[in-house]
Amino acid sequence: MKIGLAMMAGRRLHGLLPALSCLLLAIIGAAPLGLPHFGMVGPAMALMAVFYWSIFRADLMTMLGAFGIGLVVDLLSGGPVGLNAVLLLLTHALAVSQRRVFLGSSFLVNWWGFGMVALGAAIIGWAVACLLNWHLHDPRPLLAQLGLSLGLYPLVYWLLSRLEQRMLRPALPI
Amino acid sequence: MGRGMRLAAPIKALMQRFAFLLLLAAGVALILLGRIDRPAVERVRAVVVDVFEPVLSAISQPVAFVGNVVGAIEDLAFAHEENVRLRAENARLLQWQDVARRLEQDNASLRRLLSAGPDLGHSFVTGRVIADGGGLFVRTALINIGAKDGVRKGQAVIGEGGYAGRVADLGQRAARILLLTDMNSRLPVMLQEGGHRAVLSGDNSPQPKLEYLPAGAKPQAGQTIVTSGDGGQFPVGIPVGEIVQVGDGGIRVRPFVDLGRMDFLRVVQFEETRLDSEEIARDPSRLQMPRRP
Repeated sequence: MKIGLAMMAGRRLHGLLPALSCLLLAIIGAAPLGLPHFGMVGPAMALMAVFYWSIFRADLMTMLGAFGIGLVVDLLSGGPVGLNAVLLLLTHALAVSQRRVFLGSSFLVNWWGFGMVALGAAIIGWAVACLLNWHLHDPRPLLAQLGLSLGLYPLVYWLLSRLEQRMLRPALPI
Repeated sequence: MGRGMRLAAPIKALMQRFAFLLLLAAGVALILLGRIDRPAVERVRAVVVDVFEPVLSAISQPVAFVGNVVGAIEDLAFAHEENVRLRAENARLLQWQDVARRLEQDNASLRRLLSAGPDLGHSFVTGRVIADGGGLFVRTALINIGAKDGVRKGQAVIGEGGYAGRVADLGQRAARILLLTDMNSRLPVMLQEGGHRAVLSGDNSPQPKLEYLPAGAKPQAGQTIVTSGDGGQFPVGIPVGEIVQVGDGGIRVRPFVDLGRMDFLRVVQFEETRLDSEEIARDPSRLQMPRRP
């Protein structure tokens, strides 16, 4: 009986791993990186994680989870509150709707897919911020972030897939 | 069972779609709310930042380490050029040191002659930068000291080289700094030579604009800008930056602080400049020698 309870609790905790990994990556993304030539720009870590989990473990990454993680990113970054929440929600919805395509294909296709999503998120984010502040924001930091995110995505993908293999039981077939 | 599942599937999909639209609407409402009710958003921000402060403090150092390693590799590549440049700079600075010493003495003796009191005292609290605004739409930094360390809203924040920004949002354990390059930053400044007052307005670009300079002033590239202390919240004379461009695009100022690579920031605990004489008579300790940084 006790073992059964412990196992259930363990499974629950494991179920939280995707959300927790997103949160951790979001915090890492918020920390000052201080790369030369990049100013204050850092990679969109939470976007990578939400995209990954929405494809591979949609059962554990819900839309509420994606929204909440975006909200934390917004509150930590000092930018418009709700912007990243909306962007991650859209990312989640898009990834879930296309997950059959991504599940059966290679990493390169996945990378390309992430690039498209990140580009879309950057454009929407830029447009919303420009409208909100009524100011034409310099798009170069966004392009720098896009480049950084694309460059780092293989590493994050690898780390998250290791985490998935080690810590999570295989998902039920769709 | 199978029949029930088949019936339930469309309803579930509908519910999902409904939930999605609801969340989307909530997100848009939040974005608008942030525009309308800033104080409420600031309060929530302060609470969230306080909660995450320990994790951010723990994580920011290894992350900064990665950035520093990349920086170090690049520094190595340019070590020789850098060395030559630094030698020249060192020679020039030694001359300035002499000048500064002489001026300090002059200043002290002149103050004695005028029987003017020593400078108003101010002290510092130092914090580590634990997060930045991502550099996309805002220029802010989060430091790991807050109200419990004596930080107050509006206080000036100094980085390596000079003025970096002011305290905008305040939590118990963390504070958000609005950097001078942010589009919401307006800083009262003056030209060091001549003392002409002006306002330094950020526009999210790396070089803020110098505005409202009186017609008599003759701004030139290379001139130094310092805080004017107007408004009473800041001390006078904190170095801010130097003019790099005077032309059709307005007057642009390059900040002395390297805003992309900040490790530690100091918050100036400044006593209001307008102390009345009665208050000083009651408590002479309010006029004290400035602490050496």
